[in-house]
Amino acid sequence: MKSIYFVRHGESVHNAAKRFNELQTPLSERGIRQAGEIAERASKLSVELVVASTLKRAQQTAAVVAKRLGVNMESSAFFVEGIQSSRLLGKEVSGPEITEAHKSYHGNFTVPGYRFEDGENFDDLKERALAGLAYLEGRSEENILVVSHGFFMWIIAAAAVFGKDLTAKECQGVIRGFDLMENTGLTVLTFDAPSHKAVGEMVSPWQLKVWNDHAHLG
Amino acid sequence: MKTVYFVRHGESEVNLRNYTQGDHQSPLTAKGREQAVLIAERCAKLPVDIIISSTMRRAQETAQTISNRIGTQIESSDLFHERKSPTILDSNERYRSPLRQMRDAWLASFYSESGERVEDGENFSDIMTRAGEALAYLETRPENNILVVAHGFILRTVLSHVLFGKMISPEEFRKFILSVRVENTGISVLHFDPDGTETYDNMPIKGWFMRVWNDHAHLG
Repeated sequence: MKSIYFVRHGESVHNAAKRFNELQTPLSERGIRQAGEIAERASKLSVELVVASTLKRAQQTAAVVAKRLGVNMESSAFFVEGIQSSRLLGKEVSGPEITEAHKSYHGNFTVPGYRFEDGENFDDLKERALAGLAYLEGRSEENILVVSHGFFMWIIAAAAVFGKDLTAKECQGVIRGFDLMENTGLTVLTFDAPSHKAVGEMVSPWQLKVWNDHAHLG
Repeated sequence: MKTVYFVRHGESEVNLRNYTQGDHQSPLTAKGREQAVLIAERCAKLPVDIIISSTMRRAQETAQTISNRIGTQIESSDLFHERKSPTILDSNERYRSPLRQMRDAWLASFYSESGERVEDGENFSDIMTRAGEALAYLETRPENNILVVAHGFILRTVLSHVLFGKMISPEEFRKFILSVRVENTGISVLHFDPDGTETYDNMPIKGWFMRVWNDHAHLG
């Protein structure tokens, strides 16, 4: 059985200032401390490889973890944050532009083919999450730590639980019902060969074991 | 805002045998008692006003261990009982046909549109109704910090009700149940916000949402 430990990056300077992250937004000092705390915790897990989203805040978090564990770090675009409309990057999270954008985005999330400006839509996100999971399935390592992002972790969790037939309604249930992961919160997915012990066919060989464990943060 | 800490009971004899889990009197194993001590230690750091426990022995023993450690009183409620199996299956450990067929039919009744029941066992609509009643009961409790000791299947049912409400289809429920896990003494944190002051992406969250699922860091 494979175990994948998904970690949300540490606090970024934009997280602290309540602004939308940009591609190159770095960790805050607090975020760097959080990265040290999750690295310490991860040292008790038998992690063989660290995979990081290509965005700077994930790269910085992953570098701290990989160094503490003494394992290789690779980068992957599968696990970058959900791509938002470019005009919103760096803006205040509770400002009028982003509030209006979120209203449109979430209000129309289940409308087939709906897209907000030049951001990713549900179909894009689902395809990328399933491709990311398939990539992890194909890796030879059994225990992998992946540093990813708050919004995209909702999509990863929904894709793991509901499988390739994930609907926008199911995905919206997860986005609405699962709280945003904490910075350096830990989510664990397992992957196993399909079992027929349970009633009916398994929908997905992936299972959600833990969401947003942040016991290491006190 | 209300916080509910849901804890699954420690490992019990009946978990090891892995039949219908309907045995009311199945005690914790030695390992289950150790797990209960570990989660009790962890709960000492949480602001718990009341413990509510399923009436089944494995939950009661777990709740008592936590209560002894944190000095909070226990109330019992059948709303958090494990899914209810046909009585005739509970007293028979080794299933032969036709009891095996009965058990399989009962398990399948949780993922079926038909609405059929097997003897006095619960089915999909029964357990979904009970999950809704359990959430409504927690909403009306006066305490703001509640610890509930319950069971794997009913906990996942409550979470699916939080995500999709009572309109969830048996097929969605099946996908969800089979893909979400919960460990013995794993702790999950759900919040209830009656006013919609909490938000995700600037959208108000009114009602229930899940903050943590199945944290079991205390198990090492």
